Amino acid sequence: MFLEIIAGLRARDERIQERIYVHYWGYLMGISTRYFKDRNTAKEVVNDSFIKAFRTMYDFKHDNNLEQFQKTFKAWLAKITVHTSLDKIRSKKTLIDYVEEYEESGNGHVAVDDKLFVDDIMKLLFELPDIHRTVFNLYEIEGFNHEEISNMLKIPVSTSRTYLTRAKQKLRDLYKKSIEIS
Amino acid sequence: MEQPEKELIKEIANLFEDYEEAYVPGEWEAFSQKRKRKYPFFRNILKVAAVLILGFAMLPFLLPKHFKSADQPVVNSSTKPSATKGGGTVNGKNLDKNPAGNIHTLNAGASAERSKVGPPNFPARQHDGLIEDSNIIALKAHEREAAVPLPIVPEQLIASRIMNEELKSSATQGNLTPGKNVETAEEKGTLQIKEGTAAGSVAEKVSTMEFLASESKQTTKKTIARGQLSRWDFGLAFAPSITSTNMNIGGGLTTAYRLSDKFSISSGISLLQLQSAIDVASTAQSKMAVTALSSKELLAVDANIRAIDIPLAIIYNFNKNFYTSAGLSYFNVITEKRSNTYEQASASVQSSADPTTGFASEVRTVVSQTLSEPAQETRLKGNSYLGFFNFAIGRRQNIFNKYNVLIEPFIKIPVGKLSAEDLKLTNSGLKFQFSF
Repeated sequence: MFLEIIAGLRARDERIQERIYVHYWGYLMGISTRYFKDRNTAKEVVNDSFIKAFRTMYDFKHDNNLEQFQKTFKAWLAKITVHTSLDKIRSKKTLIDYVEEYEESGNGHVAVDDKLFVDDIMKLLFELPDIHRTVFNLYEIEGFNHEEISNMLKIPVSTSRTYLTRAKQKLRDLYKKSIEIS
Repeated sequence: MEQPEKELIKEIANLFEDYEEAYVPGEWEAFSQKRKRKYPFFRNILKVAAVLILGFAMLPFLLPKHFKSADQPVVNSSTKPSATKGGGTVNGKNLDKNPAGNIHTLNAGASAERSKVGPPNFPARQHDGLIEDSNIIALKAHEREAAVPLPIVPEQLIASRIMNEELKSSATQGNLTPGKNVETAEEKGTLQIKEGTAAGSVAEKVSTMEFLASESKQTTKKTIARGQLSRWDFGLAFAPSITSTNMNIGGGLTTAYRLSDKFSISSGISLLQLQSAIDVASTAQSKMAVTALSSKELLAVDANIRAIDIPLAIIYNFNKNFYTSAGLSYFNVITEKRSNTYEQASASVQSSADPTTGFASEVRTVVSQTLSEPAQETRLKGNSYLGFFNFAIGRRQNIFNKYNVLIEPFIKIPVGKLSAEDLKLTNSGLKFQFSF
């Protein structure tokens, strides 16, 4: 599969686009749906990301190491999707300036006993304010640091830290509540 | 000490790290359809650009009236006196007027437009009637800069003199209103057209300008028309060329727009037929075993391509006859035919018995034959590329003062995606062009 992709990229064969799309669609949807509750918007972002990727992927630099290529190509697509998501958020101006103030619960540690399910966590994530969820996604899942997040979202570094702390705190609270209910 | 919060948060991060949804069948098809609708011109943007260039190139021919009228100077002979300070009007704008009733035009080259009649070109244009142009330019400059008389420079003095001579000669032929004197006022740095009497009306002043404009009208028209035609060139081209293996032909329409005496941009559209061979040695697995007793070896792949080529180039003219051009061309493959030539070797065993002795013998033979079969694969068909780097040096020969025959050795080198294709498409040849 990846050999085929590498050969297709080298030959600049447009037919390889379908293989790439089918192979990575689910992964990119997984990223996009963390930023957008609406699946149609998430799909739109994924498609826009593929369009961007297809334009430039033939020049993707790699050292013909198959394992390395799998990782870097996937990470590259993920990065495009994250940036496209942020562009979409900015264009829709869904990042609300008003941020709910949480009460400090003081508990920074919540143990997870049971297996987590994506759908459950998604529900919790979408109870966070958009800006908190975005910072949480960028920092905890995509692995950006606060300076990068600050640049991407045009917010001060300290604000990024604050939003992250509040997002995590809120998630813990929500998680504890969800356990208590069940 | 802060507790590690990897439990919940870390688990969430791990959960999403490699999370992916299952692919929904039909998404690719929907994406392909949507992409075509969303970016209908994306792949053909160069094609559209070239068509637009050609379209604009044809405009002066399709709408000659519009182009002429846009360039022709217009002097209205409105004789309505203006209520504004200073007196007479031309085109409703104020003319600077001294207290004695003399019209002061600003020096004939005081505007940026004057550079059109700069020193090197001026004597030649004098005969084309552009002296009157400078008059009109003086008027325009006057309209813009009525309150600011500019210092005169030598070229402007020349323009003033020439204009005055023209005015004087016209006056002697009885074309001017009787009683008018025309004199230069070079010392003052302005050109003055004095009226002999204070009774000179606005209508008379305007009629002077009208006269000058009408005098120049005929020749100006000719000059503009000639200028327009000379800026554009259209032509037919025929270009035989060779790749490393085959002879090719191409031909089409060309156009060029002269930016300056030295530089032009050119474009066009041509149909190319390119034949080329693939370097089989560089492709892997050219030899394959068909059965245990036979093998099939790919000897050659020949491709025959028909494509539309739309070049865009900058031309530098060394002189009237020689030029060089460099540029890129958009390349759209319309048809592609490939054929593979194989060498098939098959071993056979023939048994025979000697009828006299009854002794049986076996003869092993290897039969080798060359087969050619069309290939299903058409890698280039339907694709668009940016395409070729084109370089040429040419000789231009004028015939009948109106047409040009151009002979142009050229080389076309594939660039970008096209250079990565397996075909060797670098080609060079000789382009024959007839332009008008």
